[in-house]
Amino acid sequence: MTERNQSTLEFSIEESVWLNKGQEVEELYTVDLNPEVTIEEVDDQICIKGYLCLTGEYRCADQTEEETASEESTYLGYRSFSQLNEVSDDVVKLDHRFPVDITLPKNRVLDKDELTVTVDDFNYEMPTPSCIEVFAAVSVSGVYENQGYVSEGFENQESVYENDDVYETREEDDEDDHELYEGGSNPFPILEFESRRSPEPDEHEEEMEYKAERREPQVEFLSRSEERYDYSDAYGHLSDLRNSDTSEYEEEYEEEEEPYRPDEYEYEENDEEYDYEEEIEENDDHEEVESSSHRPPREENALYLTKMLTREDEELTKMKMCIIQAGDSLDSIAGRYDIPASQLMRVNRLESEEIEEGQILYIPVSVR
Amino acid sequence: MSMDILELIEKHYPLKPLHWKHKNEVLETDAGTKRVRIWTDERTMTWHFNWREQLESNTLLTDRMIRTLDANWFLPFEDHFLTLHDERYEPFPKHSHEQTWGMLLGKLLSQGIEQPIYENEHFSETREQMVQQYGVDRSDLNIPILNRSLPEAKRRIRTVETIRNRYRHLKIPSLEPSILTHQGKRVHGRLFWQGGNEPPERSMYGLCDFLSDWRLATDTKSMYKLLDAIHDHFPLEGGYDQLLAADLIAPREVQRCVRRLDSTDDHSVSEILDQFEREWESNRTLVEEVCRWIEHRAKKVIR
Repeated sequence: MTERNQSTLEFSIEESVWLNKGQEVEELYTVDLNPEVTIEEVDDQICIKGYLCLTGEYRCADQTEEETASEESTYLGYRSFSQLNEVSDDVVKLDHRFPVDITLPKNRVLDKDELTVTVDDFNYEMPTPSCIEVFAAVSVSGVYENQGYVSEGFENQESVYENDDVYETREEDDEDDHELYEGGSNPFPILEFESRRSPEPDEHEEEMEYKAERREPQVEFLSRSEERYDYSDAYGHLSDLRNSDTSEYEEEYEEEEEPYRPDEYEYEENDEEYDYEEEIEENDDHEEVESSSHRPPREENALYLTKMLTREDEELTKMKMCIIQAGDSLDSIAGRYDIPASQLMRVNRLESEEIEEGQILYIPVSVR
Repeated sequence: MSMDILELIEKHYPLKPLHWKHKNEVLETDAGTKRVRIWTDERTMTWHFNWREQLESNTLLTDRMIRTLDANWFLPFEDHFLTLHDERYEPFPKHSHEQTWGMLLGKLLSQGIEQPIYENEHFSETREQMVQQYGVDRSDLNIPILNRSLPEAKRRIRTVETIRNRYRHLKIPSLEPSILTHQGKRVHGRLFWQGGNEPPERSMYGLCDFLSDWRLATDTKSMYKLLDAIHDHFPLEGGYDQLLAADLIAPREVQRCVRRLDSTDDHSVSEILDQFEREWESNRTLVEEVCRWIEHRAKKVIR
């Protein structure tokens, strides 16, 4: 054991926090990103769970500015001292949590007390007063390289604004985590994401589970909520799913189309976008078209994930990512997760059944 | 120095100084009490000379510069200038004399527009400059009661800016920065106005201070009469009423508070803040009342 090299798992996080109307930032006083995690041994896994806490203080933009400006033409005067809000109303606490759920095989960890999660690099931008873009590099140190499997997870959950002035992070449902390693024998490296965005907790959920690969344990997630995208884009994919053999998707996505507001979903990454209409046509033609030939390059899978993660109306997006190890095949992965290989190909937009070590596969998870 | 001044006055003025009442400021003479003013800036002195001369009339007296034996209105004094003025103490009544006071203020405003001044005739401050000028950016003082007021103070500045922009075409009167009721004295039943010696400012702040002072000494109704009387001599409608309101709305109590806080020790902070709150509320009431008068005048015009 001691001769193994110690390595570090690194995650690049690029997230956006959107602030509700009336909570826009006029002046950001402080902002910080800190990990708050617990490390536990569960069977033959080491689970790192908790949050990356984005905290700080800012002064709310004066939303009455425009109103005041328009009122100035008729109203001359100002408020009494007793009518002035307390200063605390003006200075708003920022408290946003990005859930973290990292699972490692025990054989990759010499001593769980050695494990540390650190934010190595943190930066932010504010493209608009209502958006804080967070860029961070997070690393888990105390991990050792070996012949075994590594599983990693990053669970992403967006906070929900339950009311005008309080940020609340919804409780996460971690019950699915363990199913990734059912029986404690699944040695697959797993990255798990979960993203909830809607204030309604009990509405339909949408889960995606991805199997992913293991290369050097360095993964970069792009889940930029601020990226506006065409809803139809995401649902172009979903139309694929509709035609798939998992009927549950049909129900979910049909339900989810209802809250669609076109003006909110304009995806602008031209490089990545593909034509919804085209997808529809494909789907209308034949199912076999889906699983074959002209799929966009694999990178789109990540984009798809991004889109799924960033939809604001999304109830719950759960994804599993599996890092392919030596000796794995598409069939073995499909069997392990009890999912048709064809669906894996579709979801991952694979052109053939060949997969290679280090490749990441996304595995849809059944909704419970 | 004081001896020199007395000798100088005795030599050049047709009066005999007796003794200082307030050293280097007020002296008793065989022709009554006189005030000495020393001017470091000739332009400021000239501005003050001009308005005093222009306002003087049968009904209104001013503390004009007393002429020397050579008929000059000032004396070179070291590197500066010296002028001599009558000094009176009996206050001119306010109640029932709003017309007289209004005439004085109206004339002050009128000549304040006409009299050349070495500054821009219009407001030129940007909002950012005003924010800085009034100390509305001083959240660094970390005083909750002050910080609490700053957003509202910023809104007030926006209002000021809006109004000034709207009436950008109007010439702004140059007035003394402070005009108070106690400067009006009664001499032979007439209003005798004793001016100051501060450099003039292109603003109506002086009038704001006067109104505030007046309202404290009288009542709202009297202030309305006074405003009517000012309007008779200097039409406020057409923008000057709005500019007056703007200058009242400008958060000068924040500016005063910040200055006091900057120049005091911790012991008197609470007193400064109490005073700040009182001034805030008092000025707010004044703004409301003046604005009510403005609205009332506007309705009268429409009818």
